[in-house]
Amino acid sequence: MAVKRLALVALVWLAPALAYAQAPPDAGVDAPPPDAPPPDAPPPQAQPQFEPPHAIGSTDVAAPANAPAITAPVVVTVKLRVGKDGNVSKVDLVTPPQPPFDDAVIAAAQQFKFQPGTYGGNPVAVEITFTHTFVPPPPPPPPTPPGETGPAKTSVLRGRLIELGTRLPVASATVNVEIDGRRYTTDADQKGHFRIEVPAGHAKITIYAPSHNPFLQEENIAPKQELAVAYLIERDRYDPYEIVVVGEQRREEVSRITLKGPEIQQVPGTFGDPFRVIQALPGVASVVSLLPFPVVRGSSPSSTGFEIDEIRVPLLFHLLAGPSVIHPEFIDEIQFYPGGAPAPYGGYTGGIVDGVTARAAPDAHLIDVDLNLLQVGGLVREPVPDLDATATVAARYGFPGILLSLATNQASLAYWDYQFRLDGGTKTNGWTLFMFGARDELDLVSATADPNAANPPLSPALELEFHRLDLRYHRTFGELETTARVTGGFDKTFSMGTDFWVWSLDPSLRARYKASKQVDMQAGIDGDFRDLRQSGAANSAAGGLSAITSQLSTSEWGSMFAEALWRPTSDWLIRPGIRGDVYHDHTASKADVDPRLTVRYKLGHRDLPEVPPDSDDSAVWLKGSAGIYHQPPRFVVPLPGLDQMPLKYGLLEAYQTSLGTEVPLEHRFELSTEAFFNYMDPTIFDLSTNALTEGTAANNTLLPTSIVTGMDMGQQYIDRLTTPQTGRAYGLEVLLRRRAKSGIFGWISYTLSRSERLNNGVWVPYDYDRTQLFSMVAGLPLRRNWDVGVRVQYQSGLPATTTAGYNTAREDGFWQFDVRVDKRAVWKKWLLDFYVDITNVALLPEEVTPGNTIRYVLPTVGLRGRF
Amino acid sequence: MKRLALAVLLAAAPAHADEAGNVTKPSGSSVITEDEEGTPKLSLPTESDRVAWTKSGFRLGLGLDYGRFDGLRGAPSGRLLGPFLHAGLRLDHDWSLLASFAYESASGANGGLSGLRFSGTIDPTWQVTRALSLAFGFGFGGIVEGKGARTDNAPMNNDVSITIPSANPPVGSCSGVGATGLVRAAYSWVLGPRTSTDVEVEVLGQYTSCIDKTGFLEPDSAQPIQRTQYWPHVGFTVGWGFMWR
Repeated sequence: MAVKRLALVALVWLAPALAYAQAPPDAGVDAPPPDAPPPDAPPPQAQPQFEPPHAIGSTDVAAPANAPAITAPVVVTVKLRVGKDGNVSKVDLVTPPQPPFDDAVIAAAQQFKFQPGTYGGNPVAVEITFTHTFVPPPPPPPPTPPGETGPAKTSVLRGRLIELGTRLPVASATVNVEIDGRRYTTDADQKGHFRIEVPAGHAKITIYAPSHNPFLQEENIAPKQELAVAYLIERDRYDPYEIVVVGEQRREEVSRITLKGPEIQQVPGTFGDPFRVIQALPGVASVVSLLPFPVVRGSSPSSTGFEIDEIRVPLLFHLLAGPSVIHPEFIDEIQFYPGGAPAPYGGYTGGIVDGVTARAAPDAHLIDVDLNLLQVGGLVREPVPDLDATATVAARYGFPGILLSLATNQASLAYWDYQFRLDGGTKTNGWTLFMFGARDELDLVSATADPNAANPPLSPALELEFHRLDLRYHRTFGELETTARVTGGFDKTFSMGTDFWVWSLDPSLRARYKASKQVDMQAGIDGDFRDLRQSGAANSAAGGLSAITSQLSTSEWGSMFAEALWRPTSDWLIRPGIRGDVYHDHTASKADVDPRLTVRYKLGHRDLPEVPPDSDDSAVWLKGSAGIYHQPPRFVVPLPGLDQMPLKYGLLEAYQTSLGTEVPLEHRFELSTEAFFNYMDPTIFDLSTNALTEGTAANNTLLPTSIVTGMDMGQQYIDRLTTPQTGRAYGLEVLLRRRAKSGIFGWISYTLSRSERLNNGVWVPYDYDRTQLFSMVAGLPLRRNWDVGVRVQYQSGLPATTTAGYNTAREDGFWQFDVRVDKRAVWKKWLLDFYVDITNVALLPEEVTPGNTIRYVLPTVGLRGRF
Repeated sequence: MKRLALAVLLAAAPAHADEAGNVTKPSGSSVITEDEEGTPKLSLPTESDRVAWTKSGFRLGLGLDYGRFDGLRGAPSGRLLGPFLHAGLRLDHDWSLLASFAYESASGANGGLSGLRFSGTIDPTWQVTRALSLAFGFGFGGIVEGKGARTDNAPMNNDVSITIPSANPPVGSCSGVGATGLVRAAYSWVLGPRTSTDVEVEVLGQYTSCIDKTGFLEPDSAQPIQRTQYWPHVGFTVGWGFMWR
């Protein structure tokens, strides 16, 4: 038995991530690029250099004395944590147990000494992966006369090792060449090159590289020949999200939950859609599980804002319940504020969901094609040298109508969306042009069709459409970062004779100034100008609602904010902020001032091996927030062109408070608890559908029983929407989450809460109050590029009206169990992802209105190629 | 081995590579450029496909099955046709542990089943030979029928929820879940290192708690007024599928 190979690979996410983690919400500017340059690419401008740790002395691992005979290569991979002092502080086994080989590697690795890694010249802790391969001994050579050293090495085998699928060089590989029973060995360099002198003959070449599958090839080498080869080596696992966070993630928010990578693209039951993931987070209840309109901390769905890089999106999901309108590849992370959103966010009294796009790397190349049962899509990213920019183009077309046609010929559905983005310059001094839009269409049997026709003609019954053009320019002057931005938009909704369309223009200026080591200041000014038009049919066809919508025309909205991030000591973070908004339309003018404060205090530190000591990550935090939030009245569910309602109904106002703790745990787990109390006075256009008095017939719609039973109560329903109410919501949220970006990911969340409205002087549950919310999300990466995920959810039933009064009982709660399996196949120049995602795999029932239960299963099978 | 190599691996970024064939030249000649390196080659197989399939690891199977689902004690019957999914682990040479899900359209004439039959089972699977396997599964199974699936001659009460002790006559529509057990024999052919195909024969039994909602509510509790009936079934299906490792 012989020890033949030693290799070390460092997986690092450079320290700039620390800055990005605390960046302002405009992370389209600040987010780290998903496609980092290869190791030999020139470093980005103005970025400190990272120098990985270097071993001092031998890193050999002796074969254990009690080891059995090695008949096949035994690969042992461990993860080392190399501290600032160069010592190995922690060793974790990565590969499955293979005693006694892994014990030998762990014991040896604990004694390694390193020259520590540095970032910007300062020592930093780094996690590195170390692989040692115990290879079988060569077959015994044929007996040779004493003194013979074997045949003369007159030939040369040289070549390059390339990673299959990614075309990256394979470093640190051992190359074994076996000719006539003799073995010759060399090592490949950092760029995957190797060169070895060998005798002529038939050569059997075996290559072992850390984190790669064994490679086997045969060559005929002639005398005095130099043979050049290139070999494609397959990794044992291709993980696009394999990033180990070593550095500290500074805390600047109180309630924000940030999700990235597989947390937004591989959660079961979401079809890989980043925005759907928030339904599994604490404080988020659903109206109906199929509809992605969240009830966040007891507020109406129209009180929660969905944004993309802080651009309000009028339609986030195709056909209201389908995939989101942005290609998932654009979304780098989801930032979710169930409450306590900082001053830059205005216009909503509930939660904020911000999809942060990533700035494309200057040399990024990517072709991404996906196909599933519902849609086909593609994305291309290429540099544009003439503009010194990188362009990303994406488009998708959805054809759910094909599946629907299997069930009925009375309806058809279709949708499309597009995105185009240009990133020029650098992160600190650059510009971005971002265009995106979407269109949905539902066709029903036309009114003039022959009712007896076998295949009646269909005509558009619902069209939803929007477009956005966003221009941003970033400029940095020393410690001052500035962003100027203007966004233009067009929204349109056509439904059953009504036709709304809106042109909008949103200019914005932002500045962030690092006044000192303790103080960051940020300020901004935003504008929003809208010109709403509606067709003549709108007034006559919309019934009672037209009394409201007919008042809509032009509107203006201006806002200013300022805030500070103050760290008086390392234990405190104090973030005071204030924003003011002025609204105007032809029905009224309104203004508000919203002071906000979030505070964090370190109660202490936990000594955990996975996180930097005395950092924000290792701290036990006490955190709290308080603030006032206003919003204009908005339609009960967001629709393009039908968002903001007349201002004469008044502004909604909410007082949001929260208090909680964060405790880091072993293995990168973190336990967060947060109690909240929100007071809403008034709340208008609440999504409120329960009957005020009891009925005995089951209601198969979301409208009040009094409406569906034929009584003309439409105006009463409209009156309920526009009558100001007082509400309150309070509860406790618990989130246990694993934040590491390798290995298993997921979280368990539980919320115990109550949302109420004041009804005739009595607090009663809100129509969409769900007392208990539970979610468990887990994703497990497996060998051979498999990923398996499960999601389990429970939500308490909604209130129901009985003889005892309005909302005095509850429907049944519901469970949902989702599974997802991802497989990545690797080809010469591209990767093929195959996935199966099954929502509600057990067809568990959900009572959507009193007495009406649905059972459904949504299977999706898809393919995605990345070139 | 004394050398320590270090590399920083960042996210994948495609690179361009030459596609020339292998290049040879006399040893010791002038420097060879990278363009002269040979056509990139894949590895030769390091083990046979059949051997690879006997090794432990994750497995995913998708397929289609067809068969009969016969009601006992008056429960309606029907034909089954639909997709199935197996996902799980090959534990060792002899055993696998799979989770199986089936979603089948159920259709029967003259008041037979009309809707969806579904099941989810945990299947310990014994690999009798390299190709032949025998699975024993147990889990949940259910039926979802649309309204008016058949003439409803079962006892009716719109004032209070009732349980009907017999499956005969069946309620007008069934929506419910119960227990399922199955025995499945599968014969597989290895198509490559990643893919195999198999034919399956499955015998199953299911006991379903059927709920038929009357459309009325109990006014004091807002609970639906419903009828409950228990339907026993046995079934037999033949399936064809593909499995990946």
